[in-house]
Amino acid sequence: MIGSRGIAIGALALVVAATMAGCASSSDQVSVDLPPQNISQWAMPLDRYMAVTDIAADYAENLLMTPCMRNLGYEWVVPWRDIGADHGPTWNDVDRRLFNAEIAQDWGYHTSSSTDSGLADWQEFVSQPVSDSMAADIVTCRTEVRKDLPRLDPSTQLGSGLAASAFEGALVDDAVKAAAVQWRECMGDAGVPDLPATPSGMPSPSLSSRFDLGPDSEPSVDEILIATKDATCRESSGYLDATYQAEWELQVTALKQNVDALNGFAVQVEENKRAVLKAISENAPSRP
Amino acid sequence: MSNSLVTAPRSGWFGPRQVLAILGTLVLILVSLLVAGVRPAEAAPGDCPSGKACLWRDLNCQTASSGANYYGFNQYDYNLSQRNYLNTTSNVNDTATGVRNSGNFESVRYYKDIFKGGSYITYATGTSDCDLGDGVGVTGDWNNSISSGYFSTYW
Repeated sequence: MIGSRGIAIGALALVVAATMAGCASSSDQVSVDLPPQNISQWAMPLDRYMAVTDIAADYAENLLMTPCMRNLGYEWVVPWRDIGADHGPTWNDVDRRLFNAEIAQDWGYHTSSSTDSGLADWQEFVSQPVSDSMAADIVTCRTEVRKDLPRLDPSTQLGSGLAASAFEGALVDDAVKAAAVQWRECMGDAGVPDLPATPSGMPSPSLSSRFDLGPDSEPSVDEILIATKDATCRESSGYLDATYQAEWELQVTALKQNVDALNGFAVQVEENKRAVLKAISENAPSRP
Repeated sequence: MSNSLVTAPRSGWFGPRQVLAILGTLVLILVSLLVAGVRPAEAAPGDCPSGKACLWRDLNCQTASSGANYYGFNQYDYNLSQRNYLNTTSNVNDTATGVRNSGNFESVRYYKDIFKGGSYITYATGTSDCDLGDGVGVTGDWNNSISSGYFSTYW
């Protein structure tokens, strides 16, 4: 199994590489559909190619493992979940974290949580103690389930990979670097002893120690003040706009160079998503 | 007893035919592994304990030549700049070349920036990538660029 999968991945990598090389010189002529720009939602050209299915796939897998785990003697009770729930205002549709002055005023550097009303029960389920022998049995049952409902191959995350490269590329864009200098000047009186060179290093280590930033904590007044100042400086220095435009342009180029491969993966992701949702609808318990 | 052993030289060393057969077998195994894109050490990043998501600094899911020198977290770690790989003074932030999800129930997301910032890649339970820079599996600039990680429940 490993051999054939490895060969398939290797062949796929070659196809993608060949596609990228072949299209590099002619990508400017490729026509692609672009979404409208929306900086407050950080809308990006590659968003439609993000395989955001992990929560549903995890849920389906654990549900399907029930008979196997029970046969092995475990009380395996997977709770109900609302897998369609969103994660609130600090996230966009493809789970990119959003940060601007409006968000900072409400959340500081914290993020909003999922609106899934089954999350607490799920959290209890995934926090159950697992002995070494149980862990081995989980692997056995998971392997069995994946024969019929395989997880997406990592290569289907091409969109995320290209987006990551665009994200990195934007940080070294000249306009972005110039705006980062302005941001530092703006933040000069914020009282951050280890102010990083760019906003991507915020909150700095000293702020991380000063504020409790765990998922279960609330932002303090102090944190909201600094975060709001930070976000305001990102906007007034031009850093937010410059980063958005640089990342957008890099994503447009990546999309044009890889549109065929991306469309191919999108079909795989959609097919897998249908199978995952079917498994959930057939096996999930009723909403309490 | 097989014929090959019956005809082995009296000295106890393998004869030319046996040496060729052994070499041929080794070459076949090596070629199979290379074609499959799997290095021997990559096939078993098993030093990452059950329940944890792990990161290593070097190729083949190792840090300083040992798979035991990983850094692992259970629920999330929002700032890897505060962590070192086990038994080393090497900081985890922006240095990982290998990752593994040994969690039992759900996927893990590794993020470009601290506090779930920037792009992310996802690994289902039981999956790993011991060479983030080779373009096999995940693509993009992930080598030496992970700054935080979260199991799905906690992002």
